[in-house]
Amino acid sequence: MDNLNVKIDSLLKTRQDAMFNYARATSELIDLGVKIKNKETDDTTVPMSFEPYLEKYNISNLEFEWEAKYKDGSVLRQFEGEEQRNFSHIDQERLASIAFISNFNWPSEEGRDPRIIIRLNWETGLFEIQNGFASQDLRAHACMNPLEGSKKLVLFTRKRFSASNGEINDQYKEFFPFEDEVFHYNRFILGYETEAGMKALIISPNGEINIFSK
Amino acid sequence: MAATFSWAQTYGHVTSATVASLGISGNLFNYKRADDATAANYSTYPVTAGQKSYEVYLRGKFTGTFNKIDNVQFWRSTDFSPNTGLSILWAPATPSAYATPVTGTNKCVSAVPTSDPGTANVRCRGGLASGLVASGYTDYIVTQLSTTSAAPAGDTSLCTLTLNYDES
Repeated sequence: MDNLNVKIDSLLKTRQDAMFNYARATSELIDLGVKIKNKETDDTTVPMSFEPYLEKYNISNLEFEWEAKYKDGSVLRQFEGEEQRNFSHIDQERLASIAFISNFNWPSEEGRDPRIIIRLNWETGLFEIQNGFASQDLRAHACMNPLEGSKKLVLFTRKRFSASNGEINDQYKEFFPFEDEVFHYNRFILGYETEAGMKALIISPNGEINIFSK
Repeated sequence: MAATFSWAQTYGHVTSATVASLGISGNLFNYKRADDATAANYSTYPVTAGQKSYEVYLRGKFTGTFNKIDNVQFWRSTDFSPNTGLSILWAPATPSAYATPVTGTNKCVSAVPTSDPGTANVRCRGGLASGLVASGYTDYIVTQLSTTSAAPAGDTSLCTLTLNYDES
């Protein structure tokens, strides 16, 4: 009988640990900006920090899109009405600056565009980090010391899709509701390369900004 | 929308192969001793301990508007739990033309990476650096479930497969 109680306690602990770990891991994934989609309910998660902006937030595969400004003042947007543009449509010869803008308004300081995350001044090679989460070190590194030489634009989205495959034994199925999940995570990269190297900023879908340089 | 991604599976004899769209979510397929593209009938065609499944020919399918899709990476994010006697093998070394899937040791001879490989490991148009410049498919990602006699009876539990790519 004592052995049975030990076994029950052990199973309760395993189950409790599993539930805690599941909840914690799910929360951390969401806060990283990983979208978890349930096939049955079609629910898609967004980071907890976005809750105040959910009404304006368009839950799509694209959290950010680019906007190029030319020296003559004209603007080319990745999405404009029915029009869709990609990297090949950007005329780098005429470029003045290029920015990633988000699908919702950030809680910006007065006077700052609440949708622009980062902007690259194409003429100086310096970044402006307008919103998003970036350390002071990173801001300093991005906003100073441009690379010398003629620039080639670096602009792409790194996309990740993960799907769970397999089956749970029938005897356990009713206790395991997590089969139909897909995990989706984008990162948005903007920068440039010259003969001296490469400098780019990486935006995660939770607004965190990192730098890549070599 | 920019590029739209979905998984695709090719199955059947090489002279009359069928391409099935698997979508992106849910249980895309099951490893089994049948060559088809449904997750449903795995219990009718189980992989007995010590056997291999039929090879599964996957591809990433891309449609929509994009300049280039490249740097395509494939790995297994999580393993079966428990994973006793179970391993997923694949064919990373050569550009994989489609061939009729088999259950023997054939193209799948090494373990699928268990973490982000960091550089492209899935070919497009025959090369790791080629990428796609118009709607189409990656080259084949051939996988196969390999079991040992230690594999327990019953369903395997879940594993998570990941595809990562750059879109410009």
